[in-house]
Amino acid sequence: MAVSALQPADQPARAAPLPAVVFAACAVVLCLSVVAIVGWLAVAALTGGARALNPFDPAGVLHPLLATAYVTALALPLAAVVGVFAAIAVADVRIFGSAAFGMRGALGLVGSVPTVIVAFSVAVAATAAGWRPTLTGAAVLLAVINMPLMTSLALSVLTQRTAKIREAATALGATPMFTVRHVLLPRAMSGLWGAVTIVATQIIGAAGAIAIIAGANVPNSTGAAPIYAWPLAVHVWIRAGAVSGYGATAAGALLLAILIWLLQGAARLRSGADAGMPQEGR
Amino acid sequence: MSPGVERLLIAAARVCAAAVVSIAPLVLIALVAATLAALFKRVSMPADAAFWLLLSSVGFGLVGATMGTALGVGAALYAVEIASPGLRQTIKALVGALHAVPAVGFGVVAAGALLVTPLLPNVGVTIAIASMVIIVMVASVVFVQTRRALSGLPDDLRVVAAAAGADPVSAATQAVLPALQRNIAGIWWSSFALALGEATALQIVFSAAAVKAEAFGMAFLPGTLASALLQVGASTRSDALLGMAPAALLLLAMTISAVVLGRRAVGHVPWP
Repeated sequence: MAVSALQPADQPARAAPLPAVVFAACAVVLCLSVVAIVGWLAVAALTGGARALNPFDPAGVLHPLLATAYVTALALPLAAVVGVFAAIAVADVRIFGSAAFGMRGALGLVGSVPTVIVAFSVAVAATAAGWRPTLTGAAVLLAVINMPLMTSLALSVLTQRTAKIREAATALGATPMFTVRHVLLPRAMSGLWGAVTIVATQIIGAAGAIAIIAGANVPNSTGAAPIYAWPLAVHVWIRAGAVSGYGATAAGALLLAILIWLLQGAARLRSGADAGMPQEGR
Repeated sequence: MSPGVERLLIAAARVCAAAVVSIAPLVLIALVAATLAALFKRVSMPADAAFWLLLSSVGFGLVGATMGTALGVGAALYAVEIASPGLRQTIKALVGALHAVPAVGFGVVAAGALLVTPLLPNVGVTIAIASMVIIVMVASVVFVQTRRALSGLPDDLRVVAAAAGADPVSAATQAVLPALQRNIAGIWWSSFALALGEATALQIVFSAAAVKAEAFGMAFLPGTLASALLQVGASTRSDALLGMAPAALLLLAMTISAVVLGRRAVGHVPWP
């Protein structure tokens, strides 16, 4: 047993300062990182904030915000509905039988595939088929990319501490969908809203996937149609390597971070748990 | 609910689950077909370029996973096991804010360090900046995963440690940390998979370094497999896109291998 190595109670406990210092240093590094990153973005944004707010400036963020809203409005409901239904199927062994456990394992593997690879394979297939996706197509494909995450989060919400309730409902003769509708969903609604909000942060922060699928840097690209502006994350990604307008780019990145931070906070409040999930490509 | 509607909803749920699970096989099929087409058309990237991208990916993956895991686990242990409640809330809030910074935010800051400062983007500086970015990104995820793992440990462990006379630091190092070893192994593997797939921030760093290095006539790094996929995928629809398919297939194999090895080591791998 690990605890057997501890000092017995009759000996005075000696503090081990070195591990405490090392652990504290790790925490300090992480905390200082966020202060440095947000501070840098804020200071840089001060130099270009006015440009970022100008709707007629190419570095402006208003049109990209509109494109972000467009992509999110298309992608989020699709990812949420399919994800929740998939979770319902995987959660109940009466729907998939013994294959349900295999499906859960497969979900973990699907979720571990980097978004850049999924987006790249979509771009290759679309090019081969002669299809040039616009923001609309990119939004649908972004929904597909986020379905494994939504399914996993919804599965976690639907199955957490519900085994006895399911057992009771099944013993009373409830069908799978009756159990979901009248037993599980009323308990899980806040958690599901939290999961949807987390997926929304993924969609809002997605730069690489949309850039690849819609060909953000392809010469004469029409991928930004029908909004004719790239979502904010892609807008920042495209402009990040340029010295000109760096302040406006930093302002866009800061705005994106604040937006995601607010949504993650809302998700935590709704689910009442730590629902933090990594950002796109992280 | 009528039996017909019930059957319809169950069928819809089955179709949705099958669709979600089939994403990975479809990606694999698309990449294998594209790789075969690239080999047939002889448009694959040169072997030496592929080697450097692979080496860079593995290198940044190892550094990011190892240092990021150490940093994240250490910070989480301090926040959960040692810090006072007030300090714990502050650390959680700050790391939560770090967690909210999107990949492009990390990239913009790192690119700014290269572009708007007198720093010369030689290979060493580029590696250092890219390493810092990947370490901090991974550490913020590891912090959350470790906190979850810590909350899953039985309270009895801490009670027994306290009863044995251990202070919080001794309990963290001699009771909690050993009990967490398998979780940390899983977290390392998922961090490695995460670092391998990180594209957005690293692509911005390598792109900014290349722009400034070219202006100063210096050598620059080609990037990683994932950043090169993003760079090429977003900028071309020609055969060059097809030429990157083997790299994508290799990266997919590496990522899945990392996840499978992690599962074998620990039983399951936390969501990256």
